Amino acid sequence: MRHSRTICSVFSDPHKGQAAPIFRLIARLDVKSNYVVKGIHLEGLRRVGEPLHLMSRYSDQGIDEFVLQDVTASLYGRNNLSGLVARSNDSIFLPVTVGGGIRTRDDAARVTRSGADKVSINTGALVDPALITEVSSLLGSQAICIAIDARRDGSGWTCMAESGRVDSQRDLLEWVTEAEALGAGEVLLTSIEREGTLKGIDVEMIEAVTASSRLPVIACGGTRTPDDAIRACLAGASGLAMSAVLHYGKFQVDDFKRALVTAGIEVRS
Amino acid sequence: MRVVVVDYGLGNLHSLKSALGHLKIKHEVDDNGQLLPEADCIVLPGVAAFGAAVANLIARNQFGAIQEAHTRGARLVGLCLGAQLFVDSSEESIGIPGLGLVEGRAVRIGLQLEGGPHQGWSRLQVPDFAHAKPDRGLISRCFFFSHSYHVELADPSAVLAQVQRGSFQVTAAYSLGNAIGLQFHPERSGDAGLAVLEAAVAGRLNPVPHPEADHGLTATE
Repeated sequence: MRHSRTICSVFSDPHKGQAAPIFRLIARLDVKSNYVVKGIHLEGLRRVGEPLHLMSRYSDQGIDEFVLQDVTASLYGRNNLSGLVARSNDSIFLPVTVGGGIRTRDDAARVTRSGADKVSINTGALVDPALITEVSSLLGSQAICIAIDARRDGSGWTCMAESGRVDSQRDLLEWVTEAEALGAGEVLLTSIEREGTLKGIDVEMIEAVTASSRLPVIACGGTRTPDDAIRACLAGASGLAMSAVLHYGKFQVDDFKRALVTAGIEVRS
Repeated sequence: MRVVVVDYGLGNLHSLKSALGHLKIKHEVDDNGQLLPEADCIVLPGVAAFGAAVANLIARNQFGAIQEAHTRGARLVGLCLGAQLFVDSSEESIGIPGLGLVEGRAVRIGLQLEGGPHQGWSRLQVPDFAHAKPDRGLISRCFFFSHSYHVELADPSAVLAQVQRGSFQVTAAYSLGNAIGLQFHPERSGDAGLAVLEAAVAGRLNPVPHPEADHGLTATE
């Protein structure tokens, strides 16, 4: 029963001997040519704002963490967010995970050196799983987040590479298990079907992953209302990454925190 | 007061420099050991693996320089991995000696419980047995953690703050002599973190100073 896992961060379940950190609310910014963009199912990207402006806004609202994704990285063959990360460091003192185009150990080192606390790797690890071990042996496993863009495939899910365009033919749960064994420290789990749709998170997929891995799981894709944060927490996720719901001003971070507190779930205050 | 940040070529130096800059704490960056003999306060950051960090500190002539600075009484502030590098060894990199400034070892936290890495925000608690009572207003708040190992000290009373994970206690902050270790990332913990970073560098984190740590350096620039 994985459900009790996160609940015990609130009620301290003595049987599990487990108290997770405070449930995290994360703003995910997909960046293209110095703009935050948003699509549906990772496609049809539209500009929604300027990265530093949005980071500052969400920081003021009380967001706990940022995920910055360079969505054009594979086009240029490298991650181009170092400048943005460095600039954001001057005024925002919150954790930042940076992803997109990280294919080598040196790429990962360069990104962390520019000010990222963690790197997230998707395609690079699917192509070469040994990259996970290489990065974790250099930066520590806490600094490597495996980003997974998952799509329903029969009774399970398959992991998609190249921003959702290429099917890696890897089963989601098998890949999470392998990534953990190789030294990953966290999973950013995106449902491609829900991504950008504001149709609510995929609870079933989150539960499947949290039940099969000890790694902290950040749920991503489809958040519609603050209730999604509660559902993600109850499904065993460590955090919820949001983009459209924040970008389009449907709700503010505070709305999510209030809902969590009302449900008896501790938030950062 | 001369504050020097140790750059050993790994990890997240920029965010620490930004945080110190925001706090208006004048600081220099050392990448070859030469600034360390003059430092009043040395900040050792860290997002890296233990062994990789030790190798780089040695290659850059910083390893011995940090030990010498500790011996002469400079204030040493270790952040995250930096707090682990102060002790004798780590399970992350078996056979690699740490700086040995504080008796203890870094051990994996994931093995003691099924929680995996400690990622995210946790609220600190001050244990009753802490002899160096920290300022609770500063420290009993939420901070950002991102680690798989933590420090077990030979002298548990040097622990300033812990995080409870079920029945297990993560060492979140310690202070022994002139060494302060913070397992969390104060530079990434919002306003709460900035306040602790400022206090740690100024030696105000625990208001009852250790005699050997007190060099009259009580204020930032």
